[in-house]
Amino acid sequence: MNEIVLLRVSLIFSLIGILILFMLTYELKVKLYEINSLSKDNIDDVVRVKGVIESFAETPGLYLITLSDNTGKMTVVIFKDEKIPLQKNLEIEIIGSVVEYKDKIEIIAKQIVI
Amino acid sequence: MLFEILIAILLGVTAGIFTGLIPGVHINLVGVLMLSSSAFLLQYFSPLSLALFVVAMSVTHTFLDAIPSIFLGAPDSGLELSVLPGHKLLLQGRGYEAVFLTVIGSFFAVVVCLAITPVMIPLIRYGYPIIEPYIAYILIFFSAVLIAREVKSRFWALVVYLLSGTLGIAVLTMPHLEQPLFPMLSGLFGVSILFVSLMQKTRIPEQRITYPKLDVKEVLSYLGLGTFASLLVGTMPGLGSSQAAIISSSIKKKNKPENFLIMLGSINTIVMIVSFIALYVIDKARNGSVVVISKILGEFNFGYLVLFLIVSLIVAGIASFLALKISRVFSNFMGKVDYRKLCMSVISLIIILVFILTGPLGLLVLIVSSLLGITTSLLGIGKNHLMGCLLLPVILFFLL
Repeated sequence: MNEIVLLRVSLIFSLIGILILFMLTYELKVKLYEINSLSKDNIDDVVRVKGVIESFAETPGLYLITLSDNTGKMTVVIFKDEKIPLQKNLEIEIIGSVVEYKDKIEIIAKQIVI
Repeated sequence: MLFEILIAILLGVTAGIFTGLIPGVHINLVGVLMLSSSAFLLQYFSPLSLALFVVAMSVTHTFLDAIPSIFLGAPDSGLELSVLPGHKLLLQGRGYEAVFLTVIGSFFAVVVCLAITPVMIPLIRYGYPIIEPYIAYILIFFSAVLIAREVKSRFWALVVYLLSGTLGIAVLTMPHLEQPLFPMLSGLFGVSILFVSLMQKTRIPEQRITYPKLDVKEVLSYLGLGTFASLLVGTMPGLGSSQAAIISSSIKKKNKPENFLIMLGSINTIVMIVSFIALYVIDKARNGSVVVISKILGEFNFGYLVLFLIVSLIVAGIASFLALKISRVFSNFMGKVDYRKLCMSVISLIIILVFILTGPLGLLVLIVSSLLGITTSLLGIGKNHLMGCLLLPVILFFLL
């Protein structure tokens, strides 16, 4: 194959590929759950939950949030890399993995949208 | 206690040899594994020994990761650009010399960092809040300089920059992809270069052990530039060696590969050490290793910082020696193997590692990134425009 043909092929396929990746990013959006629909079956799953901050505590390494929606409440753990402007009754969206801690499930946050 | 610390450092150096030499095993990956097993490890080791293990591993890693990127064309994050001048020297039979240059850069980086720490502390403390709001504009400026300097075609340079930037945004925001950088950078700067070498039937000449002739003044100016750029980005979230390399290479007009390799070696190490200092001064973790250290140690005080810097210096000595020894072995080996087979084996190894670490989605990212990398090579423009994949997402992050 000569280089010009290869150049065209690789350019066209990289364009198509980038487009597919974009569509996948959109399609693969993490599923939104209501809080009481989460159970121990979801442990290790990556989930998205939306709710308001009922209360929160700050330690040197992390934030502990009690997040509630219409269906229930649960604890969300955020490891602290940056200071986050949290306040009571603030609506937030969390993407994170479900873990078990002291026989209850909680979420370790990966992404927070305020 | 002292004995435990010494053992921790030696084990850290050993771990750093592996993470540095195996393409794709990024130090952050080992950091994450350590963090998840830290509850278990802390039963047997003190938090300080674990932290020093991470320091020793990280510093060793920054000395050794030049070896696979120069000899095999499989770059690690932050060393993407070293593939190019490194490859140039490899094709002249001077692969060992290329590694030697990055080691000089890395070693003197540690010495320079130690010497200027008293200045760096106030500089980071007071400079960081001033620069932070402008970092996006600083990066836009340096990206523009980079594109404007392209000799062959500015138009295609811009297209490649924007395409790789779009790719970066898609990949970095993709859910369910745990290690997004590995498949993307391996495709853009690894597989694509190996593929083009295969296509063009590149032959690697017999490697000789040569040493560079250096102009001390020039070397010092590159080290200074590397330090400046690393300081600028080392304290910012989401920025690292790659952006520092772009900034400093767009400042210098003509980059001799020798000086460029020294600068890249220095940047990689300085960024790591600056991130320790940033943890102490502004209490922010800027890379995976530092996140682990801050979580294991809790509060990070001045005493720790001094200890970390001293350990970095000791490790730098050991790692320099190791890097040169290992690179001699690689040098001898390169002369004996069939380069075609070697390229194909490395491509296969990257594909397997990508699949194991990131699954089918990562494999797709690898394919698309490789295609874009091949396009850039065939267009004949600089591969540094592909750094848009890390620059554009960061610029948007700061602007939006």
